Amino acid sequence: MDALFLGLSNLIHIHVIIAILVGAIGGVIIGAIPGIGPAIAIAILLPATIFLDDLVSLVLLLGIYGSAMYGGAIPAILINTPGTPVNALTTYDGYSMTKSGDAPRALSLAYSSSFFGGCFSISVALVCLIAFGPYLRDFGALFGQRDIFMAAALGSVLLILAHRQNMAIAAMLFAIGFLISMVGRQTTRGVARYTFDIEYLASGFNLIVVIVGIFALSQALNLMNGKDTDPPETKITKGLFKGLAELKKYPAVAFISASFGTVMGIIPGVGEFVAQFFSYSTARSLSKNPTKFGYGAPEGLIACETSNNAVPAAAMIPLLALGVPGEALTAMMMIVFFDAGIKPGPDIFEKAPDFLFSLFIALFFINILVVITLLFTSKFIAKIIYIPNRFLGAFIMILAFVGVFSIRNNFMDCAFAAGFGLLGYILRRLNWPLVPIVLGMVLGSIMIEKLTAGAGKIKFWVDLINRPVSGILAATIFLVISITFISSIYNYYKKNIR
Amino acid sequence: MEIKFSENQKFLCSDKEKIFEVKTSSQQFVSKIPKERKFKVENLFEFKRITGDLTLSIIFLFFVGFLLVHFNSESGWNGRDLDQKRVGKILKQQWVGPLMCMAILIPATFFNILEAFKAYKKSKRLLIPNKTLYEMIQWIRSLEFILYFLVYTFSISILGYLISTLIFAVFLTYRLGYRTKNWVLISLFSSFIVVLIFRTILQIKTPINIWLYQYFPENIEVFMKIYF
Repeated sequence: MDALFLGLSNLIHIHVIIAILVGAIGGVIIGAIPGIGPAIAIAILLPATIFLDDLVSLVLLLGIYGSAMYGGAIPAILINTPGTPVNALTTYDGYSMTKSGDAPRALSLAYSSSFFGGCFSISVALVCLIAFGPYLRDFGALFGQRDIFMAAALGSVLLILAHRQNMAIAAMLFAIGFLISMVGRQTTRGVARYTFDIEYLASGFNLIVVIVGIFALSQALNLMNGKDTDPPETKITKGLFKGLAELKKYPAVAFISASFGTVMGIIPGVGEFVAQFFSYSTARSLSKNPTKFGYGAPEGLIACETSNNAVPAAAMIPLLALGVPGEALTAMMMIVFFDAGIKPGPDIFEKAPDFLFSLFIALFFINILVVITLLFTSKFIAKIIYIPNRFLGAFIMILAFVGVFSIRNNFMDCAFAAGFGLLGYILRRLNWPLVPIVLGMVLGSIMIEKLTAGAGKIKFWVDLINRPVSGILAATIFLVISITFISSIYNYYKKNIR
Repeated sequence: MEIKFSENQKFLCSDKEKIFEVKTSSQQFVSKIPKERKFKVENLFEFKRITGDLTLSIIFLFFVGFLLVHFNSESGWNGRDLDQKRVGKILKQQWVGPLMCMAILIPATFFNILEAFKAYKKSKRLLIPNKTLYEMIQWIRSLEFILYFLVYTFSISILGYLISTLIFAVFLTYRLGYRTKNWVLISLFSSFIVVLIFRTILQIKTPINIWLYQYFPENIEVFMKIYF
């Protein structure tokens, strides 16, 4: 309980309050602009956070992450274009409601659902921290170097398997990301790896350079080489408060969707998309009017928005508990943790419990602030949708320079970021996923670091998995791979032979 | 050819449009949601290989081949010491990480090229026009903006962050086709805000030794170096 109050008192600081405000409002605006999204914003802001206090930086990034999906619902509902990829399913019922003249109702329903989803997962995380806090400290003792190695390996396997139809590409890009993290002089033995005698490569690739190139610069190129869209103009009339209470009519849908979001958010790589699918399907099967789904069913909108907003708080759990990020955004946040000298992982429950409380409470305030802001400013925020894409591309490029140069004051970083930007642009054009490269870098370096650190205790190969946690994780890896293999054989049989 | 319909089957035909609706007893179980609005879990991870996929897969194949050729010298494999009793001492060696990467990379690249080639053959069989050259031109076209970015980056040490950013923003806006006075003003204002937030307020590091600033009066030079 002391940690809870200490966590709360950490937030009563002018810089943290400003970070909450900027993160919440900035996140909504970024989410509302189709083509930017939280990943690009966080990639650009990462270097700036180096100059800020650790809690301020994390609250700022968490604010953008947590509130971008609120903003993303606005273009999804008004112009049938999701602001962030996660809002894709919102277009199904949200835009249908707009077409039938119910845009304010759809927006307010989306806001209230998102708020419920966000608060639900934060409450679950806070209750777990309060109820199991003392036990979580012992939980840290269960995790050794080999266990975290196995957890990172499981995260990698799940990430690759999550790309069901392009697993080969995901595995290839993951391995390339992993290899990028290996470039440079090895710290323990001083052996240069894949440097090809180039001096710049001796210190390795900076993760931020790769992230800014792959996410921000590639999207800038994508937007500038594309065409401006001319979305139809939709006016938001009065009645934004009308839909807020409507959520009460569908408690089962809201509760189930929030639960799916919370549980699935913890699973690396799949989180928000699968959570939405299960929530939407369940809502349809529970509904009295399943045929209305896709044509403006409020339950459909609630299911999508509740589940996707329950994910950010849940996605922080594997990062904080194991030090293993599940997706690109939490991987980027991990950099801030390292800069702050806080190593996320099982020890964090013992060393900085108040810090955990601070993060989740801040996320709660961010949710409240976002809803209040949106209820009064939706009319103005909706106008952001109409900023031309190509113009945005030019400004992402300008911002990308700040992101890259400020890390090491090195022009070569900018040149390499441009190279990664070109690679990212080509991958985007071909619909190849970008996230495996970044997670390959992060999870790959975690695996090697933990394997090297735990190597002293490995006499035989079996020592890698003879601890309870590492054994369970290894068995899970085996099980997950086996299930995928068997199901793909079954699908092949069903498709081609039967 | 004569088509016979049973009693429970309906056959509708209007004069203007030929609409046929045949309802069998099994059709009552079919969902009323139209096909384009139905979705499955696969839809969330939908992926289709398009033009250029095979080209990039081949590029990756060559890249992996290049890495493989240099594996011995660049991964530290040539300095390996496998004659160890403890597995841990082997796992600590410098080549373990690169070996793990290659163990994933080689089979993944192999499967990827197979799938890409299969998709290419299928598109050829279906007589889908091959636009590989067009796609590659698009990739090369993007180099234009990369070049602008690099010029902008290097111009900062000559003209300073503020002036370079203002010029770059206006030039890029003009190049992208927004050529009215309003757009020029918008781009000037927005780029100034960017500089103000990142350099003046957040004090993000940008090059300090600016060629142009040395010609300014001393007071202005110091001011510009600190804030812009």
